[in-house]
Amino acid sequence: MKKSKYLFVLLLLISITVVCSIGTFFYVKLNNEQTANDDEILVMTSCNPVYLATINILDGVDGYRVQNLSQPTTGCLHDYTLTTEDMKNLSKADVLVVNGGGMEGYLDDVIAAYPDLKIIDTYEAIEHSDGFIGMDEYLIKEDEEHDHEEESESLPLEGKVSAELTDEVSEHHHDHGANSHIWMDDRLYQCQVISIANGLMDANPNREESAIAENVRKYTAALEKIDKQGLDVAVANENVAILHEAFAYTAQSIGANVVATMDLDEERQVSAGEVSEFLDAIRDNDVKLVFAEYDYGSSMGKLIEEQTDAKVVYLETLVHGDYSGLDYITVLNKNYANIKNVL
Amino acid sequence: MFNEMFSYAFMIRATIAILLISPLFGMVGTMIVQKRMAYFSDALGHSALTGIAAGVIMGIANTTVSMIIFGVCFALLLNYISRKGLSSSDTLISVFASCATALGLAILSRGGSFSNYSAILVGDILSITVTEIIQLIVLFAVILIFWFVSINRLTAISIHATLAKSRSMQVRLMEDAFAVLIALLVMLSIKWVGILLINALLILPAASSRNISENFREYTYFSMIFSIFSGVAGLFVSYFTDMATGPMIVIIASVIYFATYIYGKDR
Repeated sequence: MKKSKYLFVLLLLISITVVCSIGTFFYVKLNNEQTANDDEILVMTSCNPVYLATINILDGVDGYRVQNLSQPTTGCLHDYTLTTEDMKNLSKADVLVVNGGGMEGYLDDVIAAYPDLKIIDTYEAIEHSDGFIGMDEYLIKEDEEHDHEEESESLPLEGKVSAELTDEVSEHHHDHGANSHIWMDDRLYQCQVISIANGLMDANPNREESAIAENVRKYTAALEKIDKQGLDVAVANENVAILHEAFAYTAQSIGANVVATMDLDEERQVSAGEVSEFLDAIRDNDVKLVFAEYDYGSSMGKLIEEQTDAKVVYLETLVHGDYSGLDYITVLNKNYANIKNVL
Repeated sequence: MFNEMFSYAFMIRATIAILLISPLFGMVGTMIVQKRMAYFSDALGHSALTGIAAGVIMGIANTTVSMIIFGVCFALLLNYISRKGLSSSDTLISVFASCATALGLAILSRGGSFSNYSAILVGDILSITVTEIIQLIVLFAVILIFWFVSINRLTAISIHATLAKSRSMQVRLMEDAFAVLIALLVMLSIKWVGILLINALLILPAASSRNISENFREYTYFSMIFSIFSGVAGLFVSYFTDMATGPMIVIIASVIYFATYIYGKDR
């Protein structure tokens, strides 16, 4: 009896080991992705917006490979933790491009684990505007071409950028710190593109003529063509309310004032008092537009439309899902078109 | 394949951590199952939330400290109240656990910021640091010493408390010490295992071992073997398949449980 029991335990453990190994082997085989060549510079990006910026910057440039960290399928980037796959990729990576501003909660762990990994923090670069040296001319040129309003004129200039951004950032307070969804404002997104390009070109003396600089010119020109549907005139200085803090930057990009914010995601428990305060703010400030994300805002959106005169518009934040190429421009155009449609 | 795996510092640290935590889980688990304290350890796991909340309120940067302090107090309080015997102990523990969880959730969800702490629900063994491994080594030594000194007395108490008392054993002291030990183990490992699954790791190996063992020695050894095996196998599988480690360990431990259950039933 006793012998057979030990035999049983041994067989059990061996068979589990075998089954696990075989299963894992085939799983890995099925999911095998191409691995980096050693002579290529592996650029990892933390989230879709910086991924889109980076692939456009490095489009057709030899010697670079861009890879996005795995994206959370639900919820907010802030509380995302890295998978083993990510850790493996990061250990091979040369550069990590992050949005910054607290968006990547795991960033400190990554810095501690890979001290040699070069990190391009777009938020920090814009905040301190160190990253603009040598790149201002493109933006100044653009400014000459399009006669922008006061605030966008101030954007490309080094000193003013930092001042303006710090103001903006302190305006939109967030539980995780400042509101770091800066890519939702296309002008700040252009700054991100430039700071990434600057970070990637650091060691290159002839940077202005490089393929990267050419790509940046092309991409920022394309970004300039984002169609705001005249919203920057139509809703300028109008009051809006938002159900996701990312849309604070959407509102800012068309000059609207955010008078009420309720940040919804699947882990967020809203209290009754918060909802009634939010609805009161909508009524009191005569809010006509509410920006929301469909997945988490639709039930609250219905409630708002029922209880107030405001119209709820569902917009994309670019955080979830797979994007490629010029999708940033498509998504923003679609967002502005959606806003235009309910007006 | 394995060479590549151990070229990553995080995998080496995670493997060491698993090798330290899993035998402890297997060992302490046997006594938890024997003393029917599964509810108790579950409640302790949930109280970790309140511990973190207390730390946040008092501004303690290292929430592990507040978690341990709270966990030890919680365990002693639970023991004290269940001795009073006002209502059955599973009810009492449920009440305490829900109360602690609710308190923790309420405080941590202030301003909707609970998502900052959601990592603790699932746990993340890959982010373990060297300092934390040293903590685990100390804990490993403490539990091992305690185990060798008092396993016989603990067993006696778990079988017949009154009889043990008549043999002039300090039942209360032993029970409290054991509760504090569980609290330490749970609080120090909860960050890596996660609140949702920590009890599974404590209970499953011991329960599987109970299905097939005939004496206490076998019971303890099998439990430790199952625990280490599922821990290491779970970590490796999760590494290659890119899935969360904690759940993978529990899945393997569950398979062992069902296999031993079927074997034990037919015996």
